[in-house]
Amino acid sequence: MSGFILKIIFFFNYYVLFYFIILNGIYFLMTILSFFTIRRYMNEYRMIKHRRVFHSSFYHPITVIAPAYNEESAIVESVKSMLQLNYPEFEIIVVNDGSSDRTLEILKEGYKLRKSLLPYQKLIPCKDIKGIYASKDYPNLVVVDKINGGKADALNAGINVAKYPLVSSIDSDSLLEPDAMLKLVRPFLDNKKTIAVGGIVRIANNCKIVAGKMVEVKLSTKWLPKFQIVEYLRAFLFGRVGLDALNSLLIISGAFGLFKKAAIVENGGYLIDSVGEDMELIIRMHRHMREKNKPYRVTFVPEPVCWTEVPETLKVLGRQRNRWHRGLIDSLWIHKKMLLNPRYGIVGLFAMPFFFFFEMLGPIVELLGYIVVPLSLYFHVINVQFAVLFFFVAFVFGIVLSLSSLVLEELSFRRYPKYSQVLQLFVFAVLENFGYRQLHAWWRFKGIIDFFKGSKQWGKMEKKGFETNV
Amino acid sequence: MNYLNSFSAEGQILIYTILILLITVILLFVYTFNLRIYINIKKKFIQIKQNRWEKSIFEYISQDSSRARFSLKLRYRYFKIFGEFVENYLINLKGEDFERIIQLLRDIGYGKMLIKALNKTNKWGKAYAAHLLGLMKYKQAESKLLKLFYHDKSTVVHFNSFEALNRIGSKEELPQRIKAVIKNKHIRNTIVIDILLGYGAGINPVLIEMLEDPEIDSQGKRLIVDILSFLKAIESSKAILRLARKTDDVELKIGCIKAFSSLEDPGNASYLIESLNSENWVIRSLSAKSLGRIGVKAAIPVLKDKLYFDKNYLVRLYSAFALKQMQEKGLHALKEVLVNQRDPQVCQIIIYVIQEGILT
Repeated sequence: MSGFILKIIFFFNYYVLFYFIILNGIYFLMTILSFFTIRRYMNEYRMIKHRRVFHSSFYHPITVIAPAYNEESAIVESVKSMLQLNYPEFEIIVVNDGSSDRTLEILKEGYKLRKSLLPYQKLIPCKDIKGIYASKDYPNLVVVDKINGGKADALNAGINVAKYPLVSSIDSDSLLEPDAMLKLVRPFLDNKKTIAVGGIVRIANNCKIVAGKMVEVKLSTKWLPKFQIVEYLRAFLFGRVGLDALNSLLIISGAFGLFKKAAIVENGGYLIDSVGEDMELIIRMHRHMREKNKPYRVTFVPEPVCWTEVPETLKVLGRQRNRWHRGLIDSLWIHKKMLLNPRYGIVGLFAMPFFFFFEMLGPIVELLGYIVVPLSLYFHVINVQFAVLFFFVAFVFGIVLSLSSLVLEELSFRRYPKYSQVLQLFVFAVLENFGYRQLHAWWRFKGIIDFFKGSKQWGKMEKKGFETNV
Repeated sequence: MNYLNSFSAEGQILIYTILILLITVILLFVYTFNLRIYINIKKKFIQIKQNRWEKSIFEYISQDSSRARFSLKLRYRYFKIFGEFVENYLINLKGEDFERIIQLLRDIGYGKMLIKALNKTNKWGKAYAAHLLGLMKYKQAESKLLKLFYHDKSTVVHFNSFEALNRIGSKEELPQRIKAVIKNKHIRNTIVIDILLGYGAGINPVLIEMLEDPEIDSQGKRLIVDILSFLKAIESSKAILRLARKTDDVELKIGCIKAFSSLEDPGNASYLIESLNSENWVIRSLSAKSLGRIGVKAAIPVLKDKLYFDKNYLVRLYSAFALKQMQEKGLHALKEVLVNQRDPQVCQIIIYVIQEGILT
């Protein structure tokens, strides 16, 4: 029996070694690709910033959909920020998803809403719409009041009411930079095959926001948001940029994405009972387009910015990461047919396996590593020095990757203007490997367990609202 | 016992790996801070330079200062930062002020400096120099820019030299150049549109001719139709109509119908009425929309028919909008449909259209 256990431990050690080399090899490749992609983007942007087309009616009109559930504290401010978008033609649809607080009343008072007979077609499934409201002062603002059905359902309702060919999903508690949509829409003009585009989400905790506009970018005074800044920079600047360069983007953040309405409708809209509706939709789009042999493009633009608040307590952050991981598993499980299937091209042969083996199973391997390595040492399966050195390599490589994303930020957008801010981010890029990363693996591991228990809960998110940041 | 249970070669590899990684960490740290320091110093330096230049330019424009004093402050190595500074003036100044700035730049040899940059720098430098030469309308650069347009492998240099030639007003092989840009699939649509819009209506005859050109594919023709539509080139109406009748490409047909809406030429009414019976619902709905915009009263019976019987919701919706746009007669038709219609959705559409207006 002990021989069998020893064999398992023995092979697990080799598996970890192999896993480590492949994963970090991919990350390294993505870092290099991101570097070149961002450099090219910056150069191109400099060449086009003054172009007339940015202000012409060539830009397709867009509908921005913001689902709102019990957002009475921040909804007026958020809508104000959305209405300030610098874009030739757009409408804002706020979907009140059966809020139990005064979200709808506050909107009615704040924007002088009146009931509208605006016709719509139920192109994709959603719970019943109780009423549609239009604003006297803002003709491009529409508020949809519907029975509670969750975020995906609210987005579907918004899509049904949307009158423009491009629809954007944003969180109602997020803050868009005024020219964010102008930048996000470019890929649709440049390539008619584009069906979905994602932009970067940055962290607004403690930033100075006045009248719905970002006035000063600051770092939070708390530890957790700082860890998350490093994490977001890594995820967006080299994760998504790198995956996009490999044409393997499987996720566009629900907080900030732009889609061709026809493509969403063709795919049946957001999946209502999924906790990872944003990722599931993108994978379904890949699947559908490849099965129908239709040319398409799902892409990411690293510059248009959407600011959002992130959790400041371990409890809330844990719930969020647990949900994200359940969403990931759910999306991959629904489309497991695509895994390692050559019919789906690079998505089936690279993106799906990458997300399955490294993102989904990552926490299991990581946590098992923390258990098996001490056991291996105890049973003398591996050499102490080798184990220590290997752990050290893993940690330092993690630090190198985090620092690389900070370097990418420095080379490109430099949103954190002070030396002290950059220094703090460096410190947190190092510190996150000692505790935060392990905690993160634990939350994701719990997400796996909860998924198999059948949990579909979102978990309550506590946000202060931007107004308190002023 | 096994490969991992030893500490010789593998251990050494790991130690070297750690050392390399640690050095990388230190280098990344030093590099980032050096970069930040360098950028901040450069920013300050540029600010100081630009403040001086700005002062000089204002003095020059207000005729308070000599050109010589200004010219002393510009060297070749500053061509890019000077370009970034002067670009806004070149874009925003008009009339006499613009001419004076151009004269100044010529006098201080900035045009020559940029031509030198066309030979010496990397592709981004060349593209930027071409862009600035275009803004300066620097005629002397024409032959060099033509050479770059035809022979440089970089797309970014290609389209920037093309744009510069346009700004300079070069007529040399203009149709061929436009064709080359439209055919070049590496140039983004946004940029092609922008460059062609720069011509204004002057480019219309060339574009209209290209609609008949078999060498340009449907995608290129769609782009041309979009531009003509944006420029409201009424003279292109017949050529677009011919194209719409000839093509089987749905996207191109859609582009043509959108153009008819923008051109508002009643001459296309019969085609739009025919298109209301297309198998494609997008074509039907856009045709209805266009008929409403042009105000083709002869289409009222067909639009009424569409509002009653079309299977597609949007076709019904746009038919209702179109009828609303046809004033008394259209409104009367809407009310007639409302009285006879039992489908609650159509009734809702009509009530909305009558009470609240139309969607754009």
